[in-house]
Amino acid sequence: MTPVRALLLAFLAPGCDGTPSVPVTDLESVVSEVVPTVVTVTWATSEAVVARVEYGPSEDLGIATPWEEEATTSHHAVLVGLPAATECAFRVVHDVDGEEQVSDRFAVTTGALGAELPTLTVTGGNNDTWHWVPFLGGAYGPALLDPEGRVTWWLPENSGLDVYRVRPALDGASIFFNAGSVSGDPADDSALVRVSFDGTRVERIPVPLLAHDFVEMDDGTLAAIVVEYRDFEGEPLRGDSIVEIAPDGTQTVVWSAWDCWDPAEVKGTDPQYGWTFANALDWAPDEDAYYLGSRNFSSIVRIDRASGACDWALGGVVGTVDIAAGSGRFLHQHQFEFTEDGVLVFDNDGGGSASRVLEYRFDADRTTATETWRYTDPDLHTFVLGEPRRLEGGDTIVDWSVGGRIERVDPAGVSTWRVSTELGYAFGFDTVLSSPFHQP
Amino acid sequence: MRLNPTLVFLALSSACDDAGDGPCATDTITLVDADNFSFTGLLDVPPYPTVDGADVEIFWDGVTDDIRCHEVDPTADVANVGIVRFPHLTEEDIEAGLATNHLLMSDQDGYVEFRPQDGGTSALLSEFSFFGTAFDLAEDYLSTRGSYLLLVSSTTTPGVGALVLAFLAPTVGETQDEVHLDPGCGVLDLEVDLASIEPVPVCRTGPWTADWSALTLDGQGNEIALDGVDSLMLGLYEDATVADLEEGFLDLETNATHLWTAPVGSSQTSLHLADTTDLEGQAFEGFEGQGLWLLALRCSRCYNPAPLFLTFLEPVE
Repeated sequence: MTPVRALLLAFLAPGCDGTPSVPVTDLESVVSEVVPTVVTVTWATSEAVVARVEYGPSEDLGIATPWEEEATTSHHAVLVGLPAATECAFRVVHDVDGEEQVSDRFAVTTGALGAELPTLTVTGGNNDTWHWVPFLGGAYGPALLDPEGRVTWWLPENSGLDVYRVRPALDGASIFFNAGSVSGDPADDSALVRVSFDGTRVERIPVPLLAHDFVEMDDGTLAAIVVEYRDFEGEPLRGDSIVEIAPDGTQTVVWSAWDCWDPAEVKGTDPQYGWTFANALDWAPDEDAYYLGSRNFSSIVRIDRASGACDWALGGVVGTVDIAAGSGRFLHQHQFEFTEDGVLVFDNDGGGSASRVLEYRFDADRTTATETWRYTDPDLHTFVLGEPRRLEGGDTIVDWSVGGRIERVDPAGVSTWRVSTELGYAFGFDTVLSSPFHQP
Repeated sequence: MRLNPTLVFLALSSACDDAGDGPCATDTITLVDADNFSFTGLLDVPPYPTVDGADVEIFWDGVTDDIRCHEVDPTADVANVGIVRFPHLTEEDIEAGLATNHLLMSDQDGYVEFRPQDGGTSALLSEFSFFGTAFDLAEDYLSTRGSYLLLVSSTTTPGVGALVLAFLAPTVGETQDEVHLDPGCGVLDLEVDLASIEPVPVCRTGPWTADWSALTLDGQGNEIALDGVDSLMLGLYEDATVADLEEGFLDLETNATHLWTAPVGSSQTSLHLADTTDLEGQAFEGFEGQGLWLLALRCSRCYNPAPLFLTFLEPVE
């Protein structure tokens, strides 16, 4: 289809009065051919202003791009999070001397996403969270679910590798995901992949032997769990490391399990899968520390980023923080979230045939952790992956991953919203946000 | 694809359809529940009692036809053998869920698979695994852990290309440690009513847009999962009666005189018939030819092979 520019003036108005406004000219909206739910909007203004676009599938729009960082006369916004095959609306918002002026509304119709996507069943409502989450099983690739549980962004990963984590990038224009394998041997051709929101630019950063998880730090450095084999008793033994990838592409091993523990002295469970089997990674910017989960140790370890020292650990084989008597103990956990005074842990196997989320509160000197909350579904066992996320207000998002469910639970343990996949499809880790875009 | 921006004042409005009455008044073929065929598809999945908590060898060399009663070469056509455990569903629940395409991932609590190599037609359960996790038979293959559905498939995509379904039934006291799978034909008991369909009139000259956004029910009367629709099929059947099509219901693709298909994306609820193509890649150009015109919305990853929607079209001048 030939691109056509709208030689129309869009009228901006501050509310309903007649204050002079900065008109929108040369407005163009383009639906991406790669991710047909993404719309790129460009327009011009006669004077430099800071702008953004408000958009959505309903009358109240509901989504907004981040404000432009600098005033300009040539504007560009990428609309992410629109449902597929739907007529949507958008309007331009200018910040003119501190006053927001909005344009008339424009219509745009998104295209359909891939037929390989699973049917999702949504129950409950009143959810306001967005979910960057991969699909596994019947389809592999990064996706974005909107607060209604609809897939609004999808890009199949056709390399034959799995995808476990998706994060919107700091640049506000792209996502990162990991393409790797934790099924059996790790993949030599694994990579961290950056994809622009419209899917037209794909950059693969080769990182051999990637494991489950990665983070992006404030300066754009990526850090990922990478399997590290070393000889032990004459055989290669599977341990783990953390590799940082600087914005210039330099890769540096900043931590190794082998430097913290000795496999002759520290042994985990299930040696057939390796030694430490790290499976989850968080970065605490205020502490400049990593938190790393080890499945086979059933431990979550704090690692000082500068020194690589394993300062302390919660749970399992290398735990240094006591778990109070009567509190649940986790086994083969996956993701976790540190809160102001405690931690939420997705406990895969500690509850027997039912996985669960456990929350602990640390005492003042962080020597003891006491269970304060738990949530379980007796029908669900998640043998790999799984992630909890505490929301403002106290609700919790529970990603059951291979259990094929993401749900929102209130503090009383009542499930208020859930999205479930059809048989054969699973979720990876779930990056939960209040909008489609990166948030600090 | 680039779309022209449309300036809309105050509120969005849709195009008016004020073009008069009759099928030629609009290019949209609006499909509604009343246009749909009706069918019941009962699954009778055979159970195979085996030892409890111990290894079992599965043989699929006897799988010489599939649930559609199509011929199968067990040495060449089997790409995956999977086992799904449902902790809280009975075999009857699972049969019903498969027939209505309503099973959820959260209904299961374990999956392992085996991918045959070099024409192999058997495997021990201890050779099955998933995500690097082996099948721990002593702990995970027990009568107390739920129901075990075995799927022999022609693809590695869950749900797509199911050839044979069976239940493995670990049973305390049972000594059988081999399972020889039977052919798939007969597992699915279909009753199809195409004769009651009132054909949907369509203008003989195009363009045509099929729009199924108003559908709420599938052919079984269950809530339709529109996201499950992944292809549209348009077929011309010359010299065939409705009874012939009912008789050969599982062979609608192969029995068509001329067949056009098009993929349907997730959330897509309309399609231009000109976007369908035949096996030679030729686009559909019009309702040329005499016979029965059939339009179906299909779900390739549904375990039930019946279309979710099927109707006849009647070209009119």
